[in-house]
Amino acid sequence: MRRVRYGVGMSLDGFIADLRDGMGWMIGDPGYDSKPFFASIDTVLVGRRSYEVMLRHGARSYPGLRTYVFSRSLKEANYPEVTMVAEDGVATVTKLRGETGKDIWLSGGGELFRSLLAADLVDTVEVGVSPILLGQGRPLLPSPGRTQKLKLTHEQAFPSGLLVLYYDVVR
Amino acid sequence: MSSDERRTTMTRTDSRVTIHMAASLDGFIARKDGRVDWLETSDEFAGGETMDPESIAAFLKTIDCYVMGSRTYETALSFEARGFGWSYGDKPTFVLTRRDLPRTRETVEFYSGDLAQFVTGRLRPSFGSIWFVGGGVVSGDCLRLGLADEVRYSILPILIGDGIPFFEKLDRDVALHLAEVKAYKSGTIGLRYEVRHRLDGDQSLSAPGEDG
Repeated sequence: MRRVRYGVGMSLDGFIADLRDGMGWMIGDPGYDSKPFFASIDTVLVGRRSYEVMLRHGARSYPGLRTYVFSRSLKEANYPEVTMVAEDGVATVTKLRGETGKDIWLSGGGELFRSLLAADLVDTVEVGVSPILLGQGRPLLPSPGRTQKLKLTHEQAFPSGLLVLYYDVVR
Repeated sequence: MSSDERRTTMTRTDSRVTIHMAASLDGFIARKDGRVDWLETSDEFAGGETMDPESIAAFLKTIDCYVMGSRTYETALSFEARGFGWSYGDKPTFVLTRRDLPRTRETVEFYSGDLAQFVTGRLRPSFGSIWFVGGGVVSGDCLRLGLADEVRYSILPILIGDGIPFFEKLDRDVALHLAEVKAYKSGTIGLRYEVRHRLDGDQSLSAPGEDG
C-alpha cells in the first residue's frame, strides 16, 4: 500500500500559513534537495482553501502529478487540470491509497489533514520548520484535532536555519 | 575576590534571558485543561542521544533563576504535593502573579509589576542565566516585549490537536536564528534559537544591563 504523506512547511509554533494565507516567511536552503521527494510521489491531495491560494498564485495544478482537490463548492468543469472530490473524500483517498503507484503527497491544508488523520489515512508527517514564531495563523492541525502519537524517523538541520523533521504516524 | 563575590557586587553584563518550553509538534504546551499527560513518550529514535541524569544535573546548575506564571507555579506545587519533588532546586524562583498564592519555600518570590522593568532592572543585574519556564502568556509577554535572548524549545513526537499554545498574545512575528539541534532517543527534538532583535530601538538591542 502506498503512503499518504503530509508534507508542509511550518513556523516553529505550528502554523503552515499566516492569517492572510501567506507563506513568504518560509525559508529554504540551497542544501535541501527536494528532488528525491518529488521523485517518490505521483499524486497530490489539496484542500479547497489551499487550492484557492494556489490559484491566486497562478498555479492550477502540480505539473506531472495527479492532483485531487477536495471541495464541495468548486465546479469540476472549471478546473479540468485537476480531479475535484466533492463527496466522500475518505473513500476516494482509501481507494487511491490501495492502488499501486508512488506515494501520495498531502500538501495541505490543515483541515484536509485533520479529516484524513481521523480516518487513519495519513502515514507520515514531514515538516520543514522555518526559524520564526508567528503567534497566529493557519495551524498544522486545526483544533479540535485528535491526539496522535508520532515516531521520529529523520531530522536534519540546514545552515539557513531550516529544520526538516520526518515522523511516522503511529497506529 | 572570587568570581561568585564579584557576581553579587557588580552589574552583570553577561545576563541571558531564556524561554524554555516543551511542546507538541502542533505547538501546544498543555491541553486546554492544563493537563500534560502526553509529555511521556515511548518513541525510540535510533541514533538519538540519551539524557543522562548527571549531565542534566550539571546543566541545571548553570541556571541562576527561574521566572514563571501563576498557573505554572500551581502546577509545580501540585507536582510537589503528589511526591514528584520541586523542579527548580534551590534556585530563586520568581512567580509573576497578582493573586495571593501559597509560598511554600524561601526561594519563591512573587512579583506583580511591570515585566520589562523587572527583567532589566532587577533580574539582569543580579543573575546570569535567567529562565522563563512558562506558561504561554508569560513567555508571550517576554518575547513580545523583546526581553528574551534565546528560546529553548523541545518538540515532542505527538500531535494533541487542541490546547494552550506556546505563545499567547504574540502580536508580531519573531525571527529566530537556529543555533543548536539535538535529537533524543525519546524522539524529542531539542532546539535552541537565538532571538533576532529588531533594529527599531527595541531596548533589548543594547547590551544587557547597560542602560540599567
